[in-house]
Amino acid sequence: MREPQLSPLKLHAAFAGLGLAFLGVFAWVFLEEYLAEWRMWQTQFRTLQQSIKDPHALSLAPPVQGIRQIWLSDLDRVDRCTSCHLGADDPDFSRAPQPFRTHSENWLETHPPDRFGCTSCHGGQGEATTYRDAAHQPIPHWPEPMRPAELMEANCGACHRERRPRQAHWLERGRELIATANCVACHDIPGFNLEEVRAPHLESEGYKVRPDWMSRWLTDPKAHLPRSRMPNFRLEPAEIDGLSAFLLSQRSIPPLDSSGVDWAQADPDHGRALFGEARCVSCHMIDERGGSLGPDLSFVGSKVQREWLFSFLKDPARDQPETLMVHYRFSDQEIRDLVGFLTTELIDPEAPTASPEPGYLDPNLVESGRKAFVRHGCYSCHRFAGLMVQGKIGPSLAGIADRAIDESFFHGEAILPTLPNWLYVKLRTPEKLAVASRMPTYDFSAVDAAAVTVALLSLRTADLPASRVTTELAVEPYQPQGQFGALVRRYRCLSCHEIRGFGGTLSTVPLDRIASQLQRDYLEAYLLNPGAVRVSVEERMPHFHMTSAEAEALAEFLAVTFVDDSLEVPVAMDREAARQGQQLFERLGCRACHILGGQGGYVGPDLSESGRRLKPGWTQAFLLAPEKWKPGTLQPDYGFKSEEARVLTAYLMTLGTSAGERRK
Amino acid sequence: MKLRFLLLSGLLSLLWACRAADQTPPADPLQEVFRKQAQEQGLSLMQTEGRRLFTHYCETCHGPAGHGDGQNAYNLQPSPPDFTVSLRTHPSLYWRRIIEGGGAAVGRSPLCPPWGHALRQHEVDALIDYLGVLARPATPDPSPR
Repeated sequence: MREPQLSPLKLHAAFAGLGLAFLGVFAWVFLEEYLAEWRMWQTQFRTLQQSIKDPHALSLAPPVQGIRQIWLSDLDRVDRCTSCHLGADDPDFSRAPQPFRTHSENWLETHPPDRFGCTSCHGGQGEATTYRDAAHQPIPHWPEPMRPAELMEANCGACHRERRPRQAHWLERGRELIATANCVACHDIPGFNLEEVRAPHLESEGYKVRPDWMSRWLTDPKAHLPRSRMPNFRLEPAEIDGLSAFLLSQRSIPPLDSSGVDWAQADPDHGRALFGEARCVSCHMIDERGGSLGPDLSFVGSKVQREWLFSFLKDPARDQPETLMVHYRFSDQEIRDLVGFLTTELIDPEAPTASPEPGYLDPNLVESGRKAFVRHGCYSCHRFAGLMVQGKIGPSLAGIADRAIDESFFHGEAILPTLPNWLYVKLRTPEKLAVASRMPTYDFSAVDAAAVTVALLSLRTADLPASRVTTELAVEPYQPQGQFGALVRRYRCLSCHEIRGFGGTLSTVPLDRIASQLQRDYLEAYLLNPGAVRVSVEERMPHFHMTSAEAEALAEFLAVTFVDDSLEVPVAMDREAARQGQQLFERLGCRACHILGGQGGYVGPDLSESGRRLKPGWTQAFLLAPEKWKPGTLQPDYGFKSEEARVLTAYLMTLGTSAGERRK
Repeated sequence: MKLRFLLLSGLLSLLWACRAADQTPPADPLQEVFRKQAQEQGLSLMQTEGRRLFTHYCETCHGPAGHGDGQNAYNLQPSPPDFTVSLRTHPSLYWRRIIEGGGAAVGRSPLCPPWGHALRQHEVDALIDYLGVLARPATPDPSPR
């Protein structure tokens, strides 16, 4: 084959052309580097610096030159944001335009950039040195675009794994909602336990509810009671019939015998009085008023059967072993009157009067209901002894924040295909995104769904080093034994109170050191007849009708066990100290919040009985450092000297005692 | 040949342009929630924190919108002022002294206690920022939902 012959002239021309092309490329590279975006910003910054800073400060300022970067080796992050955001850590630039403005608030003090970088909080592409590539706006194929302020809380949540992170309101609300909506029953969610799921046992449902109520309830629980935890499963009418029949056929534990009760004698007025006196509204809502620890009772008369309610009030744990409900010591007669009140006065006006045919007699219907029960995963929340089920019905949500999303997830909806949008739409209208989704509809408001989205977006795949993560201390379940344990279980103290971090939070008073705060005799009297220490607080301790022997046993155990030795110190108190204390008390205007002798405000506790109620060591310690003992308390920290706290304590200890009577 | 190619590419680019013009931007429902929420409240992040602190510590006497009509106000003599008016007559440094040192610190009623020990510096800043919102003339009621 003949070799192609090139004339020397053509060869020279080719070389010249190539050489020029290389020159062009080199020039382009240098020019590109020289005209880089960050260089332009740095030039602008130097000019701005000269106009903002005085010559002396300017001479001290570090030179602005070259790309700056923060390398976080343990997080595998390199952030070059400070190449352009040059004034972020300099308070002089608080009014400068972006990208030079000082970082807002005190975030850089709590999260120093050399330890946290920028993108761990803000998201974005830290290595980039142009506005576009840094993903200030979403860009394709970069899963971590910069977050707007609200969604940034999701990034807070990646490290701050406490249930209630400070200053992250969306995240906090979202986590609270995840817990109350029982999400963890169907999904594995890091940070949430299956033990938190609350739903009634259904093994004796046939004795409990009225047949007509069941089908209305299953159709749409929230239409019936807006604050119900149960979501709407979008059931077909046939499924509702089947499920009703299946649930009504559940009759494993018959209610306690109430055949001797003369219902004609029931006195609803007495029942209503008992309902008020026992403080049922601390936990139960009626007509939009009351607590939310227990179910809303507005229409309970149209829901439950009289005999079951009688049995439940007589022994709540009989068919609901995990109930938060107190086992009151009511007499049969009192229960009869209470039931009379609940079943005749708290009626749903829309409930039909005639009961439908009892479908639970049809075994085919019951079997189809059992299948629907399993298909919809009802067992996830309602523990059901007769069913053997393995695993959770929904997918695990660990790492959900890193899920890749595209248009196909949105089933033709014209929605910007991002993961936050997908989670949000899924939470609000699960049926829109997948045709046969088993996820029920929770009726989350727009704001609530956004909050849950924020909380879910904090669940990242990559595990962070332990040094980066803050969590709450793991709480061991507290299970007291013996006589004390039996009383704690009977009166369900832990539904509202915390002991060693375990229990409910309705009461703001953890019991761990209660006997160092309150005198033993006062505790005993309070258990027998809990009055209102804070008049304005709706949620008060119920009147248990406990026996005096029980109150004595409880008080005795509390007094020897639930103490903090650091508070058990003597306080020197004499008449002179009490007199000075009284002067200080009046001068500070303590009555603005505290009632004393029938006068004063409703914010703090009534102090009229302090001398009989409080212990001096606690009183003094609390006055000296209220925030230490009760974080977030409304008791102001006056910055007392120890002498001032001592005389105030001396004065308070005279109140309600014979010495104090003489003083008034 | 060349003409045909030009014609074809021209037609294609025309089609592309039509398609792009026809498309409305897709909805961004989550951002819409945040936007609406921010619009309704008109509060910055710091003011939101300030509102939380105000609700927790101050509302019981000063009232949800600072009119001096909290549930505890009727116990107080002198009664708490209507912020929406009185705040405008003093500089923010004065508010800071009251918040940190109580009413007594500026020679006013001691019934307003000092919060300087309980609150951190940035919390006082946030509170003052929110007071500025309350003092804004003719604000829509910014009390929490």
